[in-house]
Amino acid sequence: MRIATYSFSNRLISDTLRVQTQYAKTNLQLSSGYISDDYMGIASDTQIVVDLKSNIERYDIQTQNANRVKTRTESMFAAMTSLNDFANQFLTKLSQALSGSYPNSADTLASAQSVQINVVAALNTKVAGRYLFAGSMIDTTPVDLTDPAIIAQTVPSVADTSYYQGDGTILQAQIADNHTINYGVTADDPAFELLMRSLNLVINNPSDSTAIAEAHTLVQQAIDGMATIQADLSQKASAIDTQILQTENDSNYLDELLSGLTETDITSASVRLTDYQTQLEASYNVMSRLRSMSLHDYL
Amino acid sequence: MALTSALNLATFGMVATEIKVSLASQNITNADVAGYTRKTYNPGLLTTNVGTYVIGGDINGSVNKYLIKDIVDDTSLTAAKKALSEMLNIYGKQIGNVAAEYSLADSMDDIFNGLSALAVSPEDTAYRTQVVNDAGVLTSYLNQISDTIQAQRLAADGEIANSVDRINASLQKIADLNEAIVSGGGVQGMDTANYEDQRMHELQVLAEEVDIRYFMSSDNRVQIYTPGGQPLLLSNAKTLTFNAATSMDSTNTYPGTLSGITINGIDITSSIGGGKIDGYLNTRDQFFVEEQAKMDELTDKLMLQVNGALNKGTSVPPRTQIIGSERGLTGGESLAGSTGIFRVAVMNNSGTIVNYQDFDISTFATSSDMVAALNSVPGISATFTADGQLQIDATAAGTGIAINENNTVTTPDGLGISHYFGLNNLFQGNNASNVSVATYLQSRPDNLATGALSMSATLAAGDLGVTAGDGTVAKLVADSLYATTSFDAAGNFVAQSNSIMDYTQALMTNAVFRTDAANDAYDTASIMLASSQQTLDGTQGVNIDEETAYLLQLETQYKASASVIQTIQALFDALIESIR
Repeated sequence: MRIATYSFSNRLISDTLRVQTQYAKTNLQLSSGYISDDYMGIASDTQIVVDLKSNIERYDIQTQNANRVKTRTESMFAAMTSLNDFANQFLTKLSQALSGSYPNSADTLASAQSVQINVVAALNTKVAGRYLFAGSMIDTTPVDLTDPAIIAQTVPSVADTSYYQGDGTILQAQIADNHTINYGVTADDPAFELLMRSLNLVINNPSDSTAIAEAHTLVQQAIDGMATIQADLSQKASAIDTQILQTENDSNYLDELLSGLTETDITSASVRLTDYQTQLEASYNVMSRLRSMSLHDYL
Repeated sequence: MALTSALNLATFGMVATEIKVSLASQNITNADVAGYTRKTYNPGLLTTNVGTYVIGGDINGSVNKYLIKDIVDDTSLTAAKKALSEMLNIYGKQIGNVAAEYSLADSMDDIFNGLSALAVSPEDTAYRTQVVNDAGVLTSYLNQISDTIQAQRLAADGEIANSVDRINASLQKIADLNEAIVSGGGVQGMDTANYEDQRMHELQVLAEEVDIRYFMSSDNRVQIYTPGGQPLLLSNAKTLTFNAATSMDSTNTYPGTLSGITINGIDITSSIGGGKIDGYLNTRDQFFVEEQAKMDELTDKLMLQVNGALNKGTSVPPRTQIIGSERGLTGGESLAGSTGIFRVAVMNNSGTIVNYQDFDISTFATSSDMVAALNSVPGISATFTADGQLQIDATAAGTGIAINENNTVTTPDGLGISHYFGLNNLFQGNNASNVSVATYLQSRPDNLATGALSMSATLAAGDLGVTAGDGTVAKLVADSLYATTSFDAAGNFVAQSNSIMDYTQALMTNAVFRTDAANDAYDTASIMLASSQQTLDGTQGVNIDEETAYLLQLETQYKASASVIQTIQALFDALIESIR
């Protein structure tokens, strides 16, 4: 068996170049932090990497949406806490008026009007450019007392939502793949209508004790109704919190998987680099020795 | 006289040694020349009554004809894989960038995210701009990849032309060498040996271009055929012809507008099996045709799904002029058999209704009936443009048009009436090369619809036609990317039910796989070829140390012969001296 001189050294050179390429590639992996710039370097993992990225992106937007909805829900809850305060305030005044310990009907009227202003302001809460209690008509003020269709209430009062300018859409949002949440509350909800009606009744009949008595009942019913709504809002906010946490957990897990597939494992890459370096050095050594092993030098 | 014979013997010996020295010198000089085999001198022996002379003989190369046959096959295979792998690499890299999050799938994720955010916060105009921009990125990407595909096909086509030129040159060279070997054999032995080397080497060069089968005829000619039996070289070299294309798009195919490889008008393309030409043919006619088909199918279904969803919505503020993306309509297109009711409204800029009307499209016979219907609505005028697009204008200042296609289903494609005319598209175009974002969105991203015109039976003038908090259409469009739809068979994908996102992932994965596989195939083939080549060179190549050692031996032999002659000369002198 024999070898041809040039063919042998050419083979050696191309083999060395191959090791050099691996060395350079490993170096690049260490410096960039990624196993490969393009998908060909992780070819067999392409499907799962693309899928993971897609899922992580989707989880991110779902979390963002969930946080927005949570802000709105919390704002609605806060507004309703105020409404509860105003309603209780009003209830106290009505009790006083009924028991005769409140000065006179003018003061009852003034008190009712003041509460009405606050109640309307609370129902017209606007957060981040959205009216919260207007259904999907988020750019329309939900409660407008100048609406000509509003009835001036008398005893017995009748339900009247003419003050409401929004629509009946209950806002909903998808905050996870299988979790859509209805979070909307509209200002024409029966609980609010009761409160508005009671105020209307008193403002239009401040000296009528039957009216005040009926208003008293209505306010009590309103407070009960609003408590239910508030409890619901609280439960929804809590459900959103749980979902956000779960989504974040899932997202973190997928992030780790993705890192494992796309990012360089520094330790093993460093070891590989050292190996290639050793291999290259040995290769260079062989090539230089070969040069010196020529019969010419000995003649 | 014996002395004279001795002198002659020594002289002939020295001449033979000189020939060997010149051969050793030639070997060393040409050691690194590709295809050069080690030459040796086999002297002839002439026995006379006065001794055995070294005379004549011939010069032989070390060509191993049988090993070369294997190498020729390996060369063809490796060259084919190399050509394919190189052509595919650019495409594989463009499929996506892992770190920079730039790929088809990433673009779609971005669009989905923007739409999902809009669904919850439709009042946030920044998201509209974002979605339209991201849609633009997606379409640019599709255009760019299609350009790459067609550019590579054109490059492959050009390479085929180059390859055909090289094949023709090679065949002619082998034919000339055949002649030289046949005519020169026996007279000038050295040249024949070198010609044989060159001929064998040229076969390898040819094999790199195209897969060949070759035979030696009885008169030491090489005859070459394609694996399919088509002769390339018999007594004369055949000429291959190929017409290079000057431009390339997805409509250029072979057979068709693209050229095949012909000999005397006979198309031999299908009988070609290996070599660079095979790699390039594969690139031009199979691989990239399949990839383009998949891109086009993805684009087709993407537009179908996304436009189908977006056409349920209406812009707020409403557009004063709507021009449909569908072109080439004459008004005579049949709508017979269509069903459903749609609503068209004139809205002012705040979104409140001025007037509206409902239409039942089962009464429509042709597309011009739509124009007539729209024209019957006060405040709206409709017509077909010169390009055959449906144009709808709101005639009163400060008003615009709103349409809800509702439950309408047109025949034969089953599209809603708005989608049929492309009135509210996100994407326009008809394939991956020309898809783009609809013009009305490019100029004003705010036109992106997120909500729908109310279909309430009690809708009245002065009511809001579309509410600001309505994000239902944005959600529909987002969901359409994940909804299951039917894909036709395209490229190497069978007909399937899948979502746009999943199909995109599958497309990317498959493209990467195939490119990677092509690279691996080339690596394997080239390693095998290198081994075979090494073995061949080992058998027939020049080893410099060997030649150097041989030279030493020749030097000694020459000196010995010279000293014999010296001795004989001294003997002659002594003889003459003795006669005087």
